[in-house]
Amino acid sequence: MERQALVEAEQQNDLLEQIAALPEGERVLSCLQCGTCSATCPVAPMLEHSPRQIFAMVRAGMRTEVLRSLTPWMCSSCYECTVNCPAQIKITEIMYALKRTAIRERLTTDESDVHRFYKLFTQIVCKFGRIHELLLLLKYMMLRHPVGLLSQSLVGLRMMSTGCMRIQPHKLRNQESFDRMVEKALTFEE
Amino acid sequence: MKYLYYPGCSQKGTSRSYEESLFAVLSKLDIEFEELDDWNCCGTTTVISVNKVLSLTLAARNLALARPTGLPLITPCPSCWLSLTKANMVLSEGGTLPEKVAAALAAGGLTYDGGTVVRHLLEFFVNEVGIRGIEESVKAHLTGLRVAPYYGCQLVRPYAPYDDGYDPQNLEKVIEATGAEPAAFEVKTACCGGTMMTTRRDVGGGMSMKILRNIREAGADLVVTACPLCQLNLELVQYRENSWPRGGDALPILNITQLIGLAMGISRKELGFSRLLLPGVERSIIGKQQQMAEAVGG
Amino acid sequence: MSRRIGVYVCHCGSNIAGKVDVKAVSEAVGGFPDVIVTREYQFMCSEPGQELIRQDIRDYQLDGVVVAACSPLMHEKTFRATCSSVGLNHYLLQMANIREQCSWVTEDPQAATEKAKAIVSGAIGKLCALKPLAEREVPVVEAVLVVGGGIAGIQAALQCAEAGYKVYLVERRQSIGGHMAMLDKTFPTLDCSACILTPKMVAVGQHPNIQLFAYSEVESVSGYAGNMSVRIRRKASYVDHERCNGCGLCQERCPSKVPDEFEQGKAQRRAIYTMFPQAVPNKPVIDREACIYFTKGKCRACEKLCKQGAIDFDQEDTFEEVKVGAIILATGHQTFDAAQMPQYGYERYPDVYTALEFERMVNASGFTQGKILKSNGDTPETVAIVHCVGSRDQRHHPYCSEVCCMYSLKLAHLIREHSSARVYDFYIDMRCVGKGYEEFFDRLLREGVRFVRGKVASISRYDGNGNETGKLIVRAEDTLAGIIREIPVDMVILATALEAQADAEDVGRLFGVSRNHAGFFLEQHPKLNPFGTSSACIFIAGTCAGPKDIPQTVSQASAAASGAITLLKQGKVLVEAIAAHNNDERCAACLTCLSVCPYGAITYEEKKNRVVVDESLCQGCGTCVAACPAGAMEADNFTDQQILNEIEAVLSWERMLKEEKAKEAVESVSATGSVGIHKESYQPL
Repeated sequence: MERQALVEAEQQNDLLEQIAALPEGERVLSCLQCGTCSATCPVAPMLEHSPRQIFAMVRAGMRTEVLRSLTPWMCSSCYECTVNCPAQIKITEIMYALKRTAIRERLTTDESDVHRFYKLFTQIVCKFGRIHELLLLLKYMMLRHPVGLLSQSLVGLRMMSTGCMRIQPHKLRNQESFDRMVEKALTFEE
Repeated sequence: MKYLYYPGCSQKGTSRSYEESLFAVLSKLDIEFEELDDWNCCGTTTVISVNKVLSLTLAARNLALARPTGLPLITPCPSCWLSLTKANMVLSEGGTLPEKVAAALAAGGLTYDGGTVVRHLLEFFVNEVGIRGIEESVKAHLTGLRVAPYYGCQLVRPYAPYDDGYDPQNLEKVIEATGAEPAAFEVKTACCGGTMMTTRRDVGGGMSMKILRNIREAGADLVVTACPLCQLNLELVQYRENSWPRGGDALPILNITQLIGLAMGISRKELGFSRLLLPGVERSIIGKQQQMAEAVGG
Repeated sequence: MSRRIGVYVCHCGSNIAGKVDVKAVSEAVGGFPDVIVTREYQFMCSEPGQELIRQDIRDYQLDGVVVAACSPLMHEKTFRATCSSVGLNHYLLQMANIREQCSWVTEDPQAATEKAKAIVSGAIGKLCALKPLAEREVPVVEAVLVVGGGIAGIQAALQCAEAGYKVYLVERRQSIGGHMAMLDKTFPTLDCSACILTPKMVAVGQHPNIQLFAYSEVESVSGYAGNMSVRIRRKASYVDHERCNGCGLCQERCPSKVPDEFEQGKAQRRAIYTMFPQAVPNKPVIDREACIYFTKGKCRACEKLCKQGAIDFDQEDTFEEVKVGAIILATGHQTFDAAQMPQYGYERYPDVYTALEFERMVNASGFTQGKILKSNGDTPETVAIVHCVGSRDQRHHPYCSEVCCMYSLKLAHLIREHSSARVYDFYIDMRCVGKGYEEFFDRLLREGVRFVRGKVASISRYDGNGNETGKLIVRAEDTLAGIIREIPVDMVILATALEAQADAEDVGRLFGVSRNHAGFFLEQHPKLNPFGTSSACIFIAGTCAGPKDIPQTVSQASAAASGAITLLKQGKVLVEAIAAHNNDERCAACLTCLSVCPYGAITYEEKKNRVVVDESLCQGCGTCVAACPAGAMEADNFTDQQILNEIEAVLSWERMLKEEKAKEAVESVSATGSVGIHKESYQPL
């Protein structure tokens, strides 16, 4: 892969400060780049960018690369990094913030198709108040893995046969007020 | 004493057997759990990746609904527990987030000023029911059974208010109370990759297999876990490895109340065993219990 | 009563003048009735600057001087000396801080200038009410107490002794030597630690001016600067050291064995024991808790064997009082308990060692006679060294322990010297800042040590796939190569942090020395006086003041010794004139002041039912003044009236400024010009 030198443009490099300004970013300036987060991360060996590398890229102002990176989408929210970080940085929470920003700025890529799952999940919860697994699986599988749907359906069918897969979505009693609440919450873009 | 129960979405769907076993056990202990009326999904780790205010609002709605009762809210799912606990923390701090959440709640006709106590089911059993309480309710001691205690991640990270974050012991205490022997294994708080079970089977699967391998090496007969998603995931990953319908070699994965219920002598039907994903679990547990009985009797 | 005051406003280069209009300030206060002369100058603290003041005092018969400049902590002493050199009582100098409290912290230049005017006017107001004071001279006891017998204490004691002063060296263990005695080689020269230390230890033991109190502790300290009374407890050793000839027979035959602290618990010692072969004094003590006679009433083998009849089970602790003029604290450090970081496997896996434990292993007189061995007796094929265990960590110690990078390199070298093991060294940064240190790092690079830049996340028997491997798996991100690495090793060495002693708080309280957030003793000034404390006669040296290596320790110890010697050489000490005084009529003897005094300077006189302040002990801190509910306590030059004067001066200046601003809008009259019109005067009340 061909690369070029990264030339520092005047206004380019305040990405670290932007993250430091977030409520979850309060200690990110103290990162020593020690690598503990990466070494405790269960998925790090499979990533192109380790968690530490993401923060190194942030310091270098590589905004697009950071937001396009698969790393935040591969985060399993295990919080090992957060608990082991000597600088006590809220790494998992920052990963969430990166995901939200990537969605907002439409920098998600096809490889990180996890975002589609998350958006579907959120849509279903907003609509019904609770998750409806059958609908979620159907929609997601149809969207991304129509072939995989076949192998998934074996599990799905088994679960339906044991009564663990609801067919009908639950309806909240106060659906209207819930809708208003959700609508208001979504007006805040963060 | 009455408690408020927050099931979380999985209890009504994929982890239905967990809820069944929970109420079977509670009824034997004469404890009343009242399901929080009209509760909604807590948002868990998914919604917070899409919209933070929405995520906090979803959690806060439940806290707001629970507050007037003054009762503590008990949930069996660590992800729900973390989501609700985080909401409580964030809303009590400064900044603009609490205001935004308050505005959203208000649009839905609700207010919340803090005060709802949220507890996880495992801690509830250890501290509220008590180890003594469990021991006294045990009718069919699980002597000779080696049970691996698997905690998963969000019950002990980032917050572990009721147990040691690195080497928790609450599950071991429950296991011992049933008469069984905890099978110690190294990775009892490692992440099973449950959040990726649908989107990245390859990654999540590897994480779960590592845990199962470690548990098998420790010589466990079955696994008890504190998280319904972990329970499903450890079953799912075995289900996919073994070809259907043969279940022979699978390691049974039980929820807390299924283990406790077993020791209480509650029927396997009431404990929802037939709903478990892995076929042959019933058979394998019956088999092991028979072995135990023979070992004790013989 | 009108005063003759000179006001000197310093530019301090651009530190003050860059923000504050010093000319305007000078002119503004020039109109005050008691101000005879005002000047502004580039650097008041310079010789020409001071000469301006001296000249004015002579020419104008000034009876008070205000210097508007930096913090009094910087140059109050300088200007006091300036005044007294031409006969003006140096307590009639008032500093006005228009730098740290004004120019350095105010954004807007105009606001800074107005604030400076207010501050200076406050200083003038206070000065009008100040009284001349005089320090007392008290003779100094020509003896020094050194607390702690490690290399710092040893160096300090020898230096003071060589200078001709009597030294009392108190060491709580039964031998001096401290941590340095436990080391094998020292970096970067790889000198044998014992070889360079023991001559100094012997010198201490033999020096006519040093009285060594080994196996002793300081019980209490009383008195005041230059005249302190110290009570020392000699712990009962149950061995008569006069009679004992150090033959060692008792130690060979003692049947009771317990973990040896010197060997970090990795070997055993007897109940009667000397710490190490080169101990000074080289006489054994009996550990009561391990002794079969003391615990069960049997044995007494040592007594039977001793040909000198030196065993004395009836011995008791004894006490001795000594008088000293200066004290040097050299109480050292302890090492971080690695069990607090369970992910590193310390105490869970047998082949995980702390650096100090490994130091004993690799030492020829240590628990493996210098052979590098696993707990099962095999030689390790691979060894990992882990940096920053407990250091640079918000959860434990945020600071860097300064010596670990260097000693890790040293241990890596020793491993390569004693075995054919491969060494991996895991670091975040390589801190090699001393003389010859960077070269030492290069040496280790060339010796083929495998350096991995990444903080170790975990040490486990299981690899990333959950398989048990029979080795210890070290997991870290190689941040330079950008890949997670799992390295199977046979032995792990943890570079644990240096931390303050567990009883540092108690020791600090005993001697009246403050500590910083990490628990280390606080120096008087981090740059300009790193060996002194807020108390004029107490000095600190070595790791009790913070982590440092041996050259820094020895340097600081010598500095502390020179501080003590300087004090003693003067033969007398000036007791600070500013002290608290008790107004008998108002005093209700509630004793609040007594309970809050940090220096124990207040006593209760029962006969007269009042409290008395010992002015020698009083440091003028003002705590009792603030605490006294009756207002009976007053501090020299900080009386209520004097302080109120200062406040009134500042407030009326501000009032005036506001009025002037209002007027200015209408009449465009400059504020500075109209001060004289108002003729504000600051009469002492």
